[in-house]
Amino acid sequence: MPMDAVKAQIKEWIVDKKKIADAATLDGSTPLLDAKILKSVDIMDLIIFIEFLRDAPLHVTELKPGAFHSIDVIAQNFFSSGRT
Amino acid sequence: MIEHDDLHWDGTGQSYLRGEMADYFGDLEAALLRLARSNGCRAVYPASTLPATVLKKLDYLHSFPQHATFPCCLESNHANVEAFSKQKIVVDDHINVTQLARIHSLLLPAACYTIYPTLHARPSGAPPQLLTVQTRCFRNEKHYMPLERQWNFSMRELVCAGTEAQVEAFLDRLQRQIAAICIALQLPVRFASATDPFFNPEQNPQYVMQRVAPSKTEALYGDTLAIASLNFHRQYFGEAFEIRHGDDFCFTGCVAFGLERWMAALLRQHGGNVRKWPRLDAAIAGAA
Repeated sequence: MPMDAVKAQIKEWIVDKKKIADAATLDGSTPLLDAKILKSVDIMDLIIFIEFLRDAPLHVTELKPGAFHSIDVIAQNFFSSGRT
Repeated sequence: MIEHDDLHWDGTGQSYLRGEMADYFGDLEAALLRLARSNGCRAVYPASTLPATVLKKLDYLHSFPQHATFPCCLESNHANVEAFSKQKIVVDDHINVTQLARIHSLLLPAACYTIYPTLHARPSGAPPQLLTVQTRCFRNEKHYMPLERQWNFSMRELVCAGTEAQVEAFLDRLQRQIAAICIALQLPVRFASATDPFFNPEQNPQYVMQRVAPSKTEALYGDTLAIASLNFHRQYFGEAFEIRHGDDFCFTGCVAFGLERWMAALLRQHGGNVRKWPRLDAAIAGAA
């Protein structure tokens, strides 16, 4: 899946999950945890969605700090060729 | 395994200190209380158990059920107590019990859990709430080591509740002070991010958050023995106990000292002659 499509799908998931009224306020670099858009319980659901999108498991014990910082970082970490 | 003439180890995860070791332990208790007070923390003296109502808000038993130790009593009806008293009560290393009453509480697994239910709302612009507490704590473990990993141990904690900036400043200051104390005590430590020992961690959102947004730093002696930890809880306890600071839920952070582990580190570093160990007064005074 092209990276732009991945980012669009993740954004759509977050907008839908968190009922964000104006999707334009959320861009690829928006800090998802620091800005309190996502909470810890949301991360578990996001992990399941990422696993569905990339059709591969994500091992939480191998997660690195900042892995869910923003949509761009998520795409880079879990969907690029050098992904974890 | 650590051994010392002034240390008695009973094999069930509990130590007994006497003589010079006990004297130094007392000095360590006093020194850490002075450190807490010099940081503006007021001391509280809580009960030794957490009630079920508080446990529900903490969610401790979902996250760490493997460490739980429950205080329990015999079901109080006369026949049950009489049956208990008339049987062979102690068999080998265990106690034969008859019917137990419902369990309403947990022996403290950490000192700071006694503090969050007592915090109260503060207006915007108010200084942080700063408290300190020392308790005996209980954590059930698979293996125990004298002073280093005990079922029953002593923990001093300093707690800050306020804005995000206030809590971060508190934790930064305490990390610098711990580093200075360790230098003064000639204890080589390094600070490293850590995660708590969650049960089934891969299924626990709090564990995942600690992985992706580190919130726990440990002071490690000998690369493995955590003698202190600094914990940034964000708004976890503020939300759980509905404590506000201004319009927002308060942020909290705590700094924990495992006293027996400090004794273990000092013993390993400086040997068994406790009189030759660095004095605590100067170390704490210099750091604070």
